Amino acid sequence: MQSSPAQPVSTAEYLLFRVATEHYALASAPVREIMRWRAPTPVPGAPPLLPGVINQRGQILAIIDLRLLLGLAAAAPDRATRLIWVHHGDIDAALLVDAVDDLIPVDAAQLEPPPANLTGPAQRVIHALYRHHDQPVAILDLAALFALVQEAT
Amino acid sequence: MILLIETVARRYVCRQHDVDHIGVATQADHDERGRRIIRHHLGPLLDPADPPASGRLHALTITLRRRVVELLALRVDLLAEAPVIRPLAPFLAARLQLPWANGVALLDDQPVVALDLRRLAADVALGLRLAHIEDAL
Repeated sequence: MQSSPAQPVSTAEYLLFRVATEHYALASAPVREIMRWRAPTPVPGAPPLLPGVINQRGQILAIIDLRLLLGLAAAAPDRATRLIWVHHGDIDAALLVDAVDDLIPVDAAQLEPPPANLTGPAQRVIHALYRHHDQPVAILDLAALFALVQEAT
Repeated sequence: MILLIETVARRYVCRQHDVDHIGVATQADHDERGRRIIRHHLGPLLDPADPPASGRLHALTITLRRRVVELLALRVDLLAEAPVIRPLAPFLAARLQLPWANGVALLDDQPVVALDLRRLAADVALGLRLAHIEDAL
């Protein structure tokens, strides 16, 4: 009997961050930069989910409040609050999160499917789960996240 | 040519050709052709955190077919060097309650929202307002 060839291990880096008390991660490839919070310029008529725009080294970035996108309660920014500049397709945006924790390698084989009981926005944007130090980390799908932002309330 | 508009708390830019007249605010109810003048402080019309200005105010006049809209601001200046106005990100533009903002310029490295004042005036004349105004009524 012939042994099958070893499958290549697919490892990618993920950025771990917190929104409220929940742990999330994004593939690091679309992450351009992590910035400290600063007050944005509000755009008249934009929903609270999109609190304004900032200038980051000449690039104008609209901020997306992940708390509100994920259906969590709004919170005032503090010293740990961060903005994650992400680029996807032709979109650049800054994701507002409560803290950025770490950058870790994740083996694709360690990703688990999302729980079947997810509802609401989480069901749309969480595409996998990962256990990091026994903590569940929800892996976000950036394309699904942008699609959710674009939908009218 | 681009106008820089200062309210109490914010700055905005707009294209000069959207505005028919810039002058000192008046108290008149009708213009010389008998059209009703609808007058609003621009700051609180756009942002609930921006209080009405007081003192000697500038009025940006936009003349519509049957109405005249006067938007009051602290200060209006013509920018000597027109900044580049970049369009809003599509996902942001798609979520605006009313399409009154149509871009962003950088002035002193700060983002400044570009307004479509002609669209704003037309909507105001029709009685349309942003939600923070509707909520306050």
